[in-house]
Amino acid sequence: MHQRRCKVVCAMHIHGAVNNFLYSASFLNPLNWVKEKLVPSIREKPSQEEVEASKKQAAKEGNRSVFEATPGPLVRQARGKWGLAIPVKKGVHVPNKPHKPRPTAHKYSTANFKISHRKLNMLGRQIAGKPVDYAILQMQFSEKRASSRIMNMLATAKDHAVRYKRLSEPKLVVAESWVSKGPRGPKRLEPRGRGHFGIRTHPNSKLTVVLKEGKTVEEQKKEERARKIRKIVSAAATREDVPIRNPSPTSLGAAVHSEQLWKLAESKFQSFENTAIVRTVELGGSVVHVTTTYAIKATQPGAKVYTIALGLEEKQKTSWLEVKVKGQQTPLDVVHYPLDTSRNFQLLDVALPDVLSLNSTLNLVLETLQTHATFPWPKQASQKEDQALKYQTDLFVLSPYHTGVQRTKVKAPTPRVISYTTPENLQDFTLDAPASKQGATVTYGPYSDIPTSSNNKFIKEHQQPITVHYFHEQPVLEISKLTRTAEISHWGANLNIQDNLVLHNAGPTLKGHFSRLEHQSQSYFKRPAPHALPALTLHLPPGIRNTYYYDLIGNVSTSRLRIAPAAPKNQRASRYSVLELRPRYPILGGWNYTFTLGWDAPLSDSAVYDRSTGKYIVEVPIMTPIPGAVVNSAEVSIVLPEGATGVEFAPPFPAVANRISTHTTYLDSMGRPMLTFEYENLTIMHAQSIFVSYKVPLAAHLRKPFVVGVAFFSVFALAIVGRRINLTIHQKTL
Amino acid sequence: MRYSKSLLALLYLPICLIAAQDPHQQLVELAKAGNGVIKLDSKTFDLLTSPKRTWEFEPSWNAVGEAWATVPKEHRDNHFFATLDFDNGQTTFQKLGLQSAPVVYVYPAAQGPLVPASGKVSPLKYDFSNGFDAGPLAESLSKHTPIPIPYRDPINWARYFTIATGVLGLLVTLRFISPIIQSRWTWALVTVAVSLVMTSGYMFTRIRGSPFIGNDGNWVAAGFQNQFGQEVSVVAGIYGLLTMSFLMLVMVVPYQTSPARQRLQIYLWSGVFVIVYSVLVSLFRVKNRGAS
Amino acid sequence: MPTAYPLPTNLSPATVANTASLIRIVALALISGAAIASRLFAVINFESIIHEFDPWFNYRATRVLASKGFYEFWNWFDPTAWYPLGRVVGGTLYPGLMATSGVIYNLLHAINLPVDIRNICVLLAPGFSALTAWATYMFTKEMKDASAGLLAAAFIGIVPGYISRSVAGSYDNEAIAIFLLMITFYCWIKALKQGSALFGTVAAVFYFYMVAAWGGYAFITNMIPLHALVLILMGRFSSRLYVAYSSWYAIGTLASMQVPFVGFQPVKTSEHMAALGVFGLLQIVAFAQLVRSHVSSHQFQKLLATGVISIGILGAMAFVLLTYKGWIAPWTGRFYSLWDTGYAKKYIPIIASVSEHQPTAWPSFFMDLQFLVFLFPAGVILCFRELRDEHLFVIIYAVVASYFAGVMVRLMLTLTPVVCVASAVALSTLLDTFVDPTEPEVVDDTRSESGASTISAPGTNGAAPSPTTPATTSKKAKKAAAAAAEHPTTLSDILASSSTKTAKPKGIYGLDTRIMVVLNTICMLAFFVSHCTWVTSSAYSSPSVVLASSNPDGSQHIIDDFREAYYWLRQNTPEDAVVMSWWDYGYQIAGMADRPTLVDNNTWNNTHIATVGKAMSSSEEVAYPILRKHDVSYILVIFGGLIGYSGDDINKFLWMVRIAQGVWPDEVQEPSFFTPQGEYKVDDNASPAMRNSLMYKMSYYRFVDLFGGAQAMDRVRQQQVPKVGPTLDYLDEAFTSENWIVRIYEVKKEDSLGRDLKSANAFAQGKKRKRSKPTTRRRAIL
Repeated sequence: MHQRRCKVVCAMHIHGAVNNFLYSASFLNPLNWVKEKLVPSIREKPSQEEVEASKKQAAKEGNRSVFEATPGPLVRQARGKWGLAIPVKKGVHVPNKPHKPRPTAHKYSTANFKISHRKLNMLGRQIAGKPVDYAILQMQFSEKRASSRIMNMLATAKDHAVRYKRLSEPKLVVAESWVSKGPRGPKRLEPRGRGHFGIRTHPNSKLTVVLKEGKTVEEQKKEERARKIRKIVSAAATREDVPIRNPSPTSLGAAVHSEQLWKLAESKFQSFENTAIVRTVELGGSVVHVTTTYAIKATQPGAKVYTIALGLEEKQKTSWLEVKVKGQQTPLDVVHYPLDTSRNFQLLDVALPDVLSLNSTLNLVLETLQTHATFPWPKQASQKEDQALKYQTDLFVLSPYHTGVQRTKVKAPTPRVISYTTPENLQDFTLDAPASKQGATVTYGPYSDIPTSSNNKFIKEHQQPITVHYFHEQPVLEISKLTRTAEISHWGANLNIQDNLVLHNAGPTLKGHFSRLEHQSQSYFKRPAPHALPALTLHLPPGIRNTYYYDLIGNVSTSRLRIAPAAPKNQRASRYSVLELRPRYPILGGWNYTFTLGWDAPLSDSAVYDRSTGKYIVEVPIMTPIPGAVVNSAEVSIVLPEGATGVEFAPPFPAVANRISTHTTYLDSMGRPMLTFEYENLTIMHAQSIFVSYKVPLAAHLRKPFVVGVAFFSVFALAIVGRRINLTIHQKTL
Repeated sequence: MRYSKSLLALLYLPICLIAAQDPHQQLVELAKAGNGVIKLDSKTFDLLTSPKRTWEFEPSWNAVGEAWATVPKEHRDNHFFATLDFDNGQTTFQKLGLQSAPVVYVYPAAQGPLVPASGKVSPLKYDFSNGFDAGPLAESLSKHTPIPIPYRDPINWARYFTIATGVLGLLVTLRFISPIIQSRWTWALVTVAVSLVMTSGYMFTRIRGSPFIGNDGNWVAAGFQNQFGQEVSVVAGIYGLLTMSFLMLVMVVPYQTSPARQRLQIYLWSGVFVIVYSVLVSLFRVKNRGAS
Repeated sequence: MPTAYPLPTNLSPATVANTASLIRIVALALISGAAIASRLFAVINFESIIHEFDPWFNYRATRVLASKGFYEFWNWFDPTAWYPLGRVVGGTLYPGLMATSGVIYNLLHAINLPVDIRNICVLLAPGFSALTAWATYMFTKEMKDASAGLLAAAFIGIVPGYISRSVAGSYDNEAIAIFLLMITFYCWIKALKQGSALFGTVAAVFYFYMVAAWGGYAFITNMIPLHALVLILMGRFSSRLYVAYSSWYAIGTLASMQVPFVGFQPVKTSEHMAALGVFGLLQIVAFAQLVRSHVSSHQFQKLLATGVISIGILGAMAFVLLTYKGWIAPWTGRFYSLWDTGYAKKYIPIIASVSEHQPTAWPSFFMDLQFLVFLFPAGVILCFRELRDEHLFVIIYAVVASYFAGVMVRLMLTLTPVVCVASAVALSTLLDTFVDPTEPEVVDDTRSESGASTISAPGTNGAAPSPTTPATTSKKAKKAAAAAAEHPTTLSDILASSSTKTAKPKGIYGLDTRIMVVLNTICMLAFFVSHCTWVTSSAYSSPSVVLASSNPDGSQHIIDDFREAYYWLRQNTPEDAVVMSWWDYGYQIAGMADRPTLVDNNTWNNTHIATVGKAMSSSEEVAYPILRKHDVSYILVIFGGLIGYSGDDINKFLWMVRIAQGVWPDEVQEPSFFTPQGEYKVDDNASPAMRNSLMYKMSYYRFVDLFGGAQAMDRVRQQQVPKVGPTLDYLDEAFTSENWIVRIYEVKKEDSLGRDLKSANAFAQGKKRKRSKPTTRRRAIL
């Protein structure tokens, strides 16, 4: 036990927490001190039992926080209740007495206490609908008198809900909260001036809450973010947690010979049929989000590999792709066929999660992001004019199987769709109108009974391009080149990230010339030109320091930054620092702007020291997501500390190219290893992290101070010698 | 009214222009008569064109005219100097809307071989920005004459004479005052005087030719980068006083033999120093608003 | 002997000496720190950026040097400057500055300190100011003693007159020139004192550096010969003078001729003739001395007379002949305008138009030198008291420099060092007098016991000086100085010696006077420091590239229009687009926008500038052919009328007119730009020439519309611009910065149908008129 505690304390220094123990230790044993210093502010992953230990200890000292419902007492509690020990696991719902229906809500309230119902109701409104922990937090920091009482009440309510009603703790939300008036105390006279008097009442009231299982904070945040991003036209929802397969030309799946693959394919083609295919195209600026749902039916037993076909240019536009079973989170493995231009389509094999029996059905969802799929039309627009884009795709979704019915929906950002092509000679697929527009959506189909379409014959006969011409209200952004350099420094406990961006407005090029008068009046009347980009809002990581933003000729003074505090330990950052970044001049259609953006982030947020292996593991994000923009080419360099050895890295998706080189910078004597990754066509979905792990031996840490010390010392030595040398040929006495 | 008479112009008639010979002849004769300068009345003026003169400007004008009279005939006669008096040319003055005198107009030839290259035949006005001297006038007019006006400043004998005598006198006196010349303190005074005068902006007033006192009687010029003549003397005086009191403390006081007198002097000079210095600072704040 | 306050007696000379030297070093370090720190206001208030105009060129050149190496830089031909002509940069600049920062850059990179070249350029001036302080210390030490030296160093470190040209970011030749000036003078004095050829050579080397760094080297070139001449005339010729001067001149001149921009000037132009003449004179005199040592004095008199006179006459004649023949060039305009002050205004308006070539009014003297301005005459007088050779130097320097400073604001820079030196001498003499504890023997009771605490004994105060302000620094300096004065033996001996130095009893009685005077001095110094800080922070620390205003809530608001427009040019115009602007902005456009310019700040071609002036000041129809001929594609004008930025082109317009008039007198006339009443106006009764001029049109194009019917007000001129704005037929508004300070126009190509653009335009608008809402252009057409 005692040893444990030591260890805990020790772990604490390693967090860099300043306490006297650290100093005394350092005084007693310098080497010890050096050791501590050498792993500066790197959080060690506290092992499970350590956490337990510290919690127990805390409990013993009686300073445990009210809000944590540790399973410990729960066990005792349970034993006390039913006399048998229930194995309690986190998150697992323990089966209760069979006949009893499982309660879904827990109602609880304060006693009547002396407060006006009006005042109390404010708090009630404040917590209603919030997750209970969040509500407790609110109460904790609320200024109101009653807040502390409410907080305790909520805490108790939560505790009870978890213990008696077995509601799952993380999901608890304050479903309802209302205030009811209690008995009024005796009235009192309140003397006023000039013999007047008022009547003073002493209201009582109480707050009642109902706790239910709702969405957790994380879920709500996620939905919130998703909604926001959905608002941003042309951007897709971000899912940081999902690994991404990147169909970059180099990563053509496993090394299989095309011929056998083809045979394989031919053999399998018969084993399915698509009862329905629905493709939804969410139009946007430089990024278009396409979701295709295949309702498939196995036509022979034991089918486990489904093949999807993409048109050739569709394939080339696609920069991100994933396949899932509808309603499931885990994406399925995809194997790309080798691309050969004789067939103008591309096949992918999807490994189904489980073998389908005969006639059993399954819904597959194919999500793709297309970049550079739209182009401005007309190509030029003056400052006053609107911005219109054209999107072109194929009418039919190709498939190696027979398709029952298929439909394509093209959703424009706004109902203002200028024109859309109406396909001809579809009589053998449909009888009524081949295309119809409703609101912002243009629907092609339904087209029924489509034969196997992944062959040149069908494509020649039936496949035809469809074009949608629509208005777009946001500027179409492209980042022609992104160069990111991430430099890890252990002495500074610092992760410096610097981006060089070349920004290009890919919307219609400006017709005529830029008139500041126009621009100012437009912004004055709140009717900015749709293709002018006055400012850009970026989400940077929380807790960043000295952010800088300059371009080739110096600092750009016109930008605003709101820094979110660093995320607490052991949990994901949910908030972001918001940078409102203004270019020197508004970027109109066809204009360029280059700038450099950099910041320092505390290393402890993104690095972990694994004591068992003695390795550091650092997480470096590939890019800062810029909503609705596509990064044409990116180069990410990660500079490891000097003398780092045993370097390993795990990119979230394969890079076009990567290399390792040496980079020499301040006070380096041997240079630092630098990893460089190159990517193409990155979208917001690619905002993932590269994980790098490496060892840094003690000597390497010590090298820098040693070198500097030697340098200084030699300078002084030279000075000392120099003063004592006398070069005069003969001492003359003037 | 000193502009009672008023004057001139040089004009520039191509021979070819003359269909009616007589005006030209007339001009030639008039020019001869007034040896190079034509006396006009408003009639002759209408025949020519307007200009004017003031008393102080007249001599330089005539000087240029005479110089022109010396050039070979073929040039001389297609280029004329003329003057117009206000008295006999009011109408013309009204015609040209002239309020002030003198004015010099150059009328280039309207046609013929002598039309200037730029093709501008509208009269050019000569601006007196660099004074009423004959030199610059001739110089600028020469741009319009077929050959440059052969004007040369008359040799200023008086000036040379004074210089010569001055030098001689200096040489003579040198023998008597040589002890003074050789005393270092003379030189010291000269040096200090020079540097004080310079640092109090003498050259500024000299170059900008700023007046000794502002026309509103104020002797301190408004503005940081501006000053009047009197400021030079005042500021130089202040500087001098400060320097002197300082030198007193350094060079005179220590040699006092009586402590009492010494103490008195020290306090005295320090007092002077402080007071004058604060005067100087306040003056500086007058010049430079918002000074520290 | 009596002392005003008790002195510790148990101090060994070694202790005293060591403490003194320690304090001296610490003081110097602190002074350097103060000098550097006080120059960083610009960086702190704004950012690390290059200031003003010329520095942008130096910065650009330095970038070339750092990236391409020295030889590339040496024969760098810049086709983008002076557009059709180009500029041989390597041969037409003083490479010293760029070379310096290039060397520093490479040095740092060699030891793996990858410092950005911009930061090196920005911080070069402060760094060298510290060196200047050191050089001044050495120089003044030669004049008087270390105490004066420390004072002088402190003064030069913080005096605004020098800071004005050396704040961080003002990356100009003066930044290193002043250090070179002082170190050269120091070496010269040293050489003169010791008659050592070594120091003469060192002086020559630094002189060469100076020549390579700054055009103002002519000052040294004439200052040292003048000194030598005066020495000769005072009959102070000595072998030391001969050695020093000869070694300096011979080596220095040869070295200086290696700089391409200087070339053979040292033997061909009048500015350098003085040095040559004095050199010759020295030879003659030396020869005379030689002869005197051999022949009897009587014959010598004759010989000398005839010889010297004849040679003198010959030399003079030769000089005259050469000048007459034109082998020796007469004085250049800039140099000549120092003597004939009217010269520049009349003949070279470009020189006259530069603000820093204006004469200096007394307030700016006081602002730049504060109490030194009246302290330094005292110093000069003290120099007269013991008239050693080096003192003569200071005296001459004082007179000459104060004249120059009076003529040109810019030359205040050369005056500042001597002012600091002289006043340091004066002040330290004062302090020596009043801190010196000895009292002359007079039957008089010393109040020694009373104030032992107030002033600690000099030299024994070993406490490290507090690094707060230069004031304390110089105060410590004083103590250190007093200490430094006392090397040889224990204090009492020193006192004895110092008292016996003068025949007359000399010294101060009592303690109160001492305290009073010293306190007085300290107050003065403190005030000086506060003044310097104020001046530096308020007047000299704004990079004219970025303007600062303040928001209603008092926070600083940066007006960044220049860089906005330049960067727009850089990003969104073709690489080879020629930009025409008034020459002030040439360097900035080249540096920040990286585009070819017609004219820039090295004004070597008057005609070319006049061409631009003409284009700006004449009407569109006249200007258009000029623009096309120089294939100008963009015109950039600065217009402050909207936010009241007074340094804009309309205010400089008259200079353009004058310069143009100098070349085309009958096409551009200055008077025609004034109202009949002779006023310079932009409102309704502006003269037609004014209103038709390109500059006027470009400045006020669509300015009225901004006010939407309300009366448009020009906030610089405080005049109301005409209700109907000017129209443009040959130009197109390309870009206007946020506050309208910078406006860029594109020159239209010839009409494709061969019509002249005016009618083409009218035609186009005629069609447009049917459309919905009218704009000013159309109103103008109506």
